[in-house]
Amino acid sequence: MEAFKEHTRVVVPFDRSNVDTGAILPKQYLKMLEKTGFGGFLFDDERHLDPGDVEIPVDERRKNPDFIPNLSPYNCATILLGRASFGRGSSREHAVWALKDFGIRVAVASSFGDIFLQ
Amino acid sequence: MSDDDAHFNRVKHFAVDELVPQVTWGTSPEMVTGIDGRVPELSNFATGSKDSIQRALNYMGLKPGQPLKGLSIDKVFVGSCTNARIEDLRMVASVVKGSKVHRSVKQALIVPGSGQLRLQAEREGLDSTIRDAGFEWQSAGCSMCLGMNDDRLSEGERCPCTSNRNFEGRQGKGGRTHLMSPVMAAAAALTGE
Repeated sequence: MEAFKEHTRVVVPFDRSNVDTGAILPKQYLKMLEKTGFGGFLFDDERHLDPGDVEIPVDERRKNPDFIPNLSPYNCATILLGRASFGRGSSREHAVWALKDFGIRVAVASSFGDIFLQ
Repeated sequence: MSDDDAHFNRVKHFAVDELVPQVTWGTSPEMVTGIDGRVPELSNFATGSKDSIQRALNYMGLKPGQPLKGLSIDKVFVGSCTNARIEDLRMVASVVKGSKVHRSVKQALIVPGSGQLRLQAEREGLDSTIRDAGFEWQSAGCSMCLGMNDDRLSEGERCPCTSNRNFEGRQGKGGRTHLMSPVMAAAAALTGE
């Protein structure tokens, strides 16, 4: 983790409660052995119109034009704004790695899933 | 188990004998009612929650007020760390003995909670009873709880499931999970609903 005192950048809103770790980073990417490279798969199911897996280059898939994190300037956001129970569900550190790889450095929500928060 | 002299801040009593088997209708474990119940009306929820509830109903293909009893199902999964212990497998075997998986059910999987449990179940002959009823008896693993290998739901398929997660896409993208006990899931496999 890199400490900071102030951070003024773009905020990407994620206007939904109960976003689970499976939605943040779908299970098929748990087959990856590295700890980096997950940014392209963040919110994968909603972010792309075509199904994805580890073997499919993410650049060959169509992006969902209605998904806010795909749109400028949100695709360069470093602050994520969520609602209640963000990151609920299964223990999955890959979800955190995906957010970090995407560029998110600050996550703000009314509440977080217990395991995710840790 | 707590010590005999443990002190509790609050004590609540539940008449579990009177509890009807519970089945989830939504995309989170707390979205649940009795098998004889109905999908709740949106008016039952606080204003701030209505959008989440409507999203869950849209995903699950259900309407407020719709009864849970009689919903057609596509696949059945009895497994996961949560609900595939030897006691569960014994109860499932006793429920399905002499019956058959309904012809409308595309796949009925039973996955023991561990390799050790699988061996024990086989020593007790539970696997024969379960296979004779038309279920698939598989090696221990995450299987359709996680939906990471070929054991998964297709878009729109409805599945009685004994895991503890009914989130969107958990068992497969677009898959509709209804959490319930192993006995209930086994019974659903026999009736097709």
